[in-house]
Amino acid sequence: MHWQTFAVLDAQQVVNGIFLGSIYALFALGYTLVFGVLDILNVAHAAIFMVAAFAAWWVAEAYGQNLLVAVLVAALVGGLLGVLLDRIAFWPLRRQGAPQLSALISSIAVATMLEGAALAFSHTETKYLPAAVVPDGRFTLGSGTGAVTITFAKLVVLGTALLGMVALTYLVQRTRLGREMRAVAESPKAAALLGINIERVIMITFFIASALGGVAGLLFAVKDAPSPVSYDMGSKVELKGLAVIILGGMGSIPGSVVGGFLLGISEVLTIALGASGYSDAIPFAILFLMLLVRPSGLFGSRARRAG
Amino acid sequence: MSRIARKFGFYLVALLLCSLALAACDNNATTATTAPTNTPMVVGATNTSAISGGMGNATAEPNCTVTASGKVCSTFSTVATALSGDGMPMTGTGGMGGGQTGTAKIGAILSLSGAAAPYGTSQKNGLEMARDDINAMAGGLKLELDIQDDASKADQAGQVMQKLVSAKSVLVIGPTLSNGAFTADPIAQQAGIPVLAISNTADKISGKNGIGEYIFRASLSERQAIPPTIKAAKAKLNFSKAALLFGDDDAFTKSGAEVFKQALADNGVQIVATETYKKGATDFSGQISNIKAAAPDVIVVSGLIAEAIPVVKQMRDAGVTLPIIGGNGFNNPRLFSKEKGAGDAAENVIVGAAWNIASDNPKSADFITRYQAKFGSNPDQFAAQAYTGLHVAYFGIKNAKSMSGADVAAALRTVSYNSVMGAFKFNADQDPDMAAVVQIVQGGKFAIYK
Repeated sequence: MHWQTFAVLDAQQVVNGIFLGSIYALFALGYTLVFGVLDILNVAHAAIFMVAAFAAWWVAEAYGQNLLVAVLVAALVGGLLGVLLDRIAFWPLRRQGAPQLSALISSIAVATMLEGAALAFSHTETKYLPAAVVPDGRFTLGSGTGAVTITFAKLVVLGTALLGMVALTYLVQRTRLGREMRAVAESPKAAALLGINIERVIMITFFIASALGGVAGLLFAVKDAPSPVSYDMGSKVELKGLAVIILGGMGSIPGSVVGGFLLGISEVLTIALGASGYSDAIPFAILFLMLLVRPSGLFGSRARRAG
Repeated sequence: MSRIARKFGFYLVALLLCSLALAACDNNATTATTAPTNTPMVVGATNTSAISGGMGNATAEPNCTVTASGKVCSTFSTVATALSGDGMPMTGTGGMGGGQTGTAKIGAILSLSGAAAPYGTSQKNGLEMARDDINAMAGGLKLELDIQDDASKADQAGQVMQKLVSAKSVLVIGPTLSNGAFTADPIAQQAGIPVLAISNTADKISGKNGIGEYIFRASLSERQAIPPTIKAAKAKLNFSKAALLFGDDDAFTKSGAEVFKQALADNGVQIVATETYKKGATDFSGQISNIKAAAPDVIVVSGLIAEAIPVVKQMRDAGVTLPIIGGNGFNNPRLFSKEKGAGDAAENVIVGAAWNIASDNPKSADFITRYQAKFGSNPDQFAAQAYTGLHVAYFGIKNAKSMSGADVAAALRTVSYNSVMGAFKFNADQDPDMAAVVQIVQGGKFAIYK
């Protein structure tokens, strides 16, 4: 480790952290949404993240090399996979009143199968998004040692992630559907009594959550030149996503956003301090401290599910 | 009592059946090596098990006929004679006695899938082309190549080596990665089976000062290639401060980093920043920012191709225009590929190598033409080293007193062969006694650095 002056908090490193954090935040949103509404930890979320990125790659290679198309494909494929996941892995267990643990294990099984399918499809090769999909060019703010260089690709990633967060917050807070989702999150039985179609709400929740996860997958590839998509990219974010939702408060949307950015910045700062080998460990150390100090997370204050 | 006896009997029978099955498998392996030359065997028969890299490089079967002295392939027979008749002897000299005939089983451990697949697929091409050329030569000794995939994983390399050793291979080529070699080679050393590395470049692999006297190298080590590269670059670019970036979880990248450190120190260059990353990393923005902040004159990277590509691209994206010097991991044309590599960002990257496509060695031009015809793309250093390596192995076995490990190893030590990379022989460390060529990426290919 080498100790630099407080230049270690230099603007470029913070900006790097923000870009990384935006992906973690977007990914964690889907995680936290499903947990909030259904009390299920959907481990297959990372697998959907990866499969949607592959789907976007495949469409870009075969048809159109357009970033907007790629984002839409990732969202659509992700969303549909999420709905399918619910129908196959969670709904039968829900019907039988099985314990939460069964749903968790079921999602692990689906995640493993999806990873295996991706491994076979790609022959363990890393695929790269075609150059035309990724925006080119960069610009530099400031000059000298305080200069910050930002690529357009990363800017687009940040913009899309923020758009997703804003859209979701609006949906949950301001629309009727969002009210229904919050009602189901509070108490499914009471919501059913009020005439809310539980299964429909759950299906839409999964669609939205997994669509966000899929877009996060595509953006994860776009962010780092030369835009790699590989069967194991889910494993890079799944634990971090879990850390984010615990840090921010499970079931809290603003919590995921703040937690995601915090985690991204702490990871980059660890590298900046010269301990890049610990760049995975330090964020988890922070998480651990958070659990000791405030177990419900930064924004978490949920009462127990009324059932 | 009878119930216990029945249970016991059941397990006994199961045990007997298993041992019979194992014995049968072992027998099949040994009969293969003792088959006579005239059986129309093996040319073109490779076992590419496990997942292939999906590269889809089909090797075209040449027109071959079985003659009294074995298969003669018409596509190659004229060329084979041309090669041996052009004044450059195709024979390998050395070794006392020798003149082995028959079929020698040669195992090869290559990374055909996983992160090192770009190297492994090149090597497979080089080996297969060499095998076809060798088996088309007269001389009575044929090679049967058994290519196995280690998926770029060290433990899988070890398992595959065990398999090849148990199958009584005469010699094993590979594995692709030094990381795999440290796990796999000791197994062969223990069993007394010679190993010829065709791409290992880390320290302490070959010879008595390495893993053992059965381990040989046809690839130029980092210790041989890096010092002249740094020297040539310093003479031209005159840098005094360097930043070093390397992977700290791989034997090759770590060894390369040590060699770089020493070469830089020997040339009076101060290392102002040292950054590391782990295999599979895709985001290097943190390390790059640190390097920028330290204000070096040159950036030195010891990495494998999977990380080299994003490093180079992200460096340029971050506005870093300093020269980049890479280790042997950069020696892959994918580095400057536009679809799968760093594209234009790789321009002016400097790498030391054992062989360059612009080499003026007369055998090199012929090798390139035939490789292009057979595989539809240009060969790279890994293909050239594989092609050379199998020939060296061939002459080692041919000139050996017997096909036993000790005799083959003894014969290998005295092999002298004119390869596409120049005159080849082993030095005291059982490494190639050759000079490195310093390259620079220019116009989307590796050019000679002048």
